[in-house]
Amino acid sequence: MQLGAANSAGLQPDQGPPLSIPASFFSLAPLSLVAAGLVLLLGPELTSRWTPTLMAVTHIGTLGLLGSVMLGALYQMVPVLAGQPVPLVRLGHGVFVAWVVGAVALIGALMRPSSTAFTVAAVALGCALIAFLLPMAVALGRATSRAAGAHRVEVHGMRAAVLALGVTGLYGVYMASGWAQLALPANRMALIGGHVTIGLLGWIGVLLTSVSTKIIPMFYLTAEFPRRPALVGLGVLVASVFGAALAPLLGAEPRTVAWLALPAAALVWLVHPAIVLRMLADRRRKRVDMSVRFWQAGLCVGPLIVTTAIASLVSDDARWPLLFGWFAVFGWGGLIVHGMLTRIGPFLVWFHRYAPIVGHTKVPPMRQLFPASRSRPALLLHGLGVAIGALGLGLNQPILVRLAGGALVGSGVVLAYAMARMATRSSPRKE
Amino acid sequence: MGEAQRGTDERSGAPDSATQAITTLDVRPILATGRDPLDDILTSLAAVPRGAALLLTVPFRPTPLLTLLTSRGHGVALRPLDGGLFAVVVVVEEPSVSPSDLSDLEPPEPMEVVLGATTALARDEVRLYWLPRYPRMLVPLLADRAVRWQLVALEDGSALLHLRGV
Repeated sequence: MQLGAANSAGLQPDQGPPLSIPASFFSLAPLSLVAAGLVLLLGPELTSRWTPTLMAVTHIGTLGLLGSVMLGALYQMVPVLAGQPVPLVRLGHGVFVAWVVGAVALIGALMRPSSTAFTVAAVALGCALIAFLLPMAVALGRATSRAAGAHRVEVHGMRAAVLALGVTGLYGVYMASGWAQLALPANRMALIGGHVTIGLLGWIGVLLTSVSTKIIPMFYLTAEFPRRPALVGLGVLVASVFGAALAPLLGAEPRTVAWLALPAAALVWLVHPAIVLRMLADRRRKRVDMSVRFWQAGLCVGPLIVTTAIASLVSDDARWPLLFGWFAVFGWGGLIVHGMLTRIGPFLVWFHRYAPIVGHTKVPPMRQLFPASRSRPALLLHGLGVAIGALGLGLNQPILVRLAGGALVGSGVVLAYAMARMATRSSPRKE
Repeated sequence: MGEAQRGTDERSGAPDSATQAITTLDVRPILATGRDPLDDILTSLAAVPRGAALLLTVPFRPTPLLTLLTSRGHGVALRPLDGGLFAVVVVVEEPSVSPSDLSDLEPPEPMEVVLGATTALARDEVRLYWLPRYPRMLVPLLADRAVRWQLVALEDGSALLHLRGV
């Protein structure tokens, strides 16, 4: 006899992903921090954004740290926020394997160019993206984009972000293929500009800003985002990003691409931080939560990204693009994603491992799974790394860049330790 | 128009009458016709069994109605929604029962409170909860519990949960 009913779709037990899928992607985050840190610590000096080392570090950050966490998070967020299960969700295991193979091959190829490595990277990452994007597109396509007569910003945002990931990947795979055949595609600089723009602002920026309209109020008990301004902002953001990203195909020069992206940059790195920081300051329950500190630290980097972006456009000094990328990938994106790991990770572990036995036996509170004593040092090391690295890049001091690398290694080790302790904590039995 | 609706969704399977814990009535269409919805409310209420709830959506604070229903021995609670709307919960013949508001709890505390309640309820004991948003992740967990439950999504994205011990 059925004992319950709901007037809206809940998740069936087999419709959310198994914990192993998001967890496997999340596990790449600390490894990527360590890897990026080691390259900075031990590798050659960073003198230009075009050095192999810098390209490798950038892609460790974008694929290993940011991309991995966001892919894993989407497997969980789409069913919860959009109300639709991801079909063939267990294909996520295959996506993970292909993603790792492709990312490692690409990073290796960027450091030591190899036609074989570029080919492996292009094929593996291409397969990973197809296997990820198609089921996601089905789920998001089925999702209701309106609720209570109003558009759901988070659903539209996830759709745009997933599309942006596809375009980012298309550009990237195309360029990797070009390297593999030792024949570079035409208008390479503009393609790179489009790849960076849609990757940073489209994939990462749209996803973080649109999903934050739900998860900030949900996790931190802030006021809700004003829905209409958020929807308008998302529309402007998406138009700016895709306009800038597709402009190279129409022959636009890199600087034109950059100027087209400025509205999006302002929204993602100036307007959104201002709104969210205010919301966090005014939240109802001001419990100290390290993930809030990560958000605050990451969002504060936003204005620095815009400053360095504009400086890159008006100055030929090679340090400005270096700083732009550093702030965007390891500062803003890295800190926010690192912080969300410290919140979403223990939540998912608690949900899968302990929620079924609540009331039957004593279970630990979620905060015990990832205490502040473990996330605080990781935040300090990560933040310190970003700050010291910026000084090193800005003042041309290689020793500071190496120190920053050491700090990132430390942050990654602490994060890895915290995640391992959480994952290996024994579960009480149901009484 | 204006008929009381059972708070269910056929996508989750039509529940039997034992699980009809929340009946919903939106009085706005009635008011739009110029009628006083009081008769409709009382008619709907008469069909709701003891311990079950009538959930009203009203476009203003219905102070006289709240007083009337309280005086008749029902548990009554009011919750403001967006756009000047109010949700009124009437727990039939249970004057001491009103929804606990879990909106000020961070995830997963609301889930923890609800799941803990499912093992603490005496037979036919009723509890209600306002949840800050529709708890999609909670639904499969409730389905595994020996308790009668019903969830209704509200217009502002929040939800009302009715639990009854078995």
